[in-house]
Amino acid sequence: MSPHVEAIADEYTRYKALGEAAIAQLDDDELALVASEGGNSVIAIVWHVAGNLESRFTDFRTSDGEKPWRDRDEEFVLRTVTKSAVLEKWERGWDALLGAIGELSDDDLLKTVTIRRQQLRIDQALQRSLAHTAYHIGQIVFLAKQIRSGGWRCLSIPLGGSAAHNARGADESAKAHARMLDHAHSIQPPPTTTSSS
Amino acid sequence: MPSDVNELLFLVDTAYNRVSWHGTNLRGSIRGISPRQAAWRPGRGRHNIWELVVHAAYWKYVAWRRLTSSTRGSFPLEGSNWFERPSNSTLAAWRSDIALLEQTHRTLRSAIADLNPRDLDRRPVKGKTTTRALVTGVAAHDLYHAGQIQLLKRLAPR
Repeated sequence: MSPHVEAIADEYTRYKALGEAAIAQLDDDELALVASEGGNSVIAIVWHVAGNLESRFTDFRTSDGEKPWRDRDEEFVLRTVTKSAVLEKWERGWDALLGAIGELSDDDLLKTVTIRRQQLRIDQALQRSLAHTAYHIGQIVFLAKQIRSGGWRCLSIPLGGSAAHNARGADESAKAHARMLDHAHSIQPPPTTTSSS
Repeated sequence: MPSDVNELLFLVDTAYNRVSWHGTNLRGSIRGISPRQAAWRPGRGRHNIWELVVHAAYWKYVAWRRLTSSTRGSFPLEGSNWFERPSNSTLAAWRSDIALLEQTHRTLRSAIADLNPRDLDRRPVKGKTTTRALVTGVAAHDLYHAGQIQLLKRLAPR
């Protein structure tokens, strides 16, 4: 992958892993909870993020990124679905994104795509999308922590662990962070202890 | 090559304080917040808005260190990553930490402005990622926490 495309792809992957590590800690019922009246559930935010990615990156180079089949308002409707349905929706969005990015070279980044009938350079379209995705994944992580409360499994440097982290000279790249989250997610049992960060 | 230095500046500015299509950025998310709201925690051991602000300032400082390979200066607060706040819940203390965020952003922005475009896909001396990836990461980090602050504001008593 070309270096510029890779830098963006790695950052997307970091946030994908963060979202998945948060979702993994919730059961079906918890995914549908809201933190405040009128607020969004994790399901609603997943529907929105995935709906946005699927619309923007399906036929990314050849069609408008706001697809006629997308119903943005419907993404925020409160719904109750299983975790497997949540993950299926999530993956559909990410598959479209990562498939489109995988076909790009750095030379493509100055070319344009169309989003809502406006021409946009591909690098700018990617950065906008990354910004939107990071913002909402911050919210997924926040909601998941709020719901899991004491049983939360930390997704970054644990509270009180910064000194050891710094002393190790740990790799803070997006790629390393995503690998760490995937690894922790695959080997750890369901959370039973208290942590916070 | 796209995303030259000006593009990177645009990226960090829109994530921090420049109007952008993606809505509320980090600086916008704390506009008008009182010290009481900033200090409110959604639960035991959870971070408040105040701590997210200082955390964001710290990582801007770390990014500046990496970009400049500087060995001079240090973050004005003792510790790293997360800093328990507030130590003093006055308006002056809250404003002081907002000023710290502003100052670290300005310093980082200035370092980005001084970058040589040819270095963007190289790793800084002690860096584990390229300069471009580092700056992209700082912008995304601001927005990740801006999204969380927006939720904290909905929950915090006014």
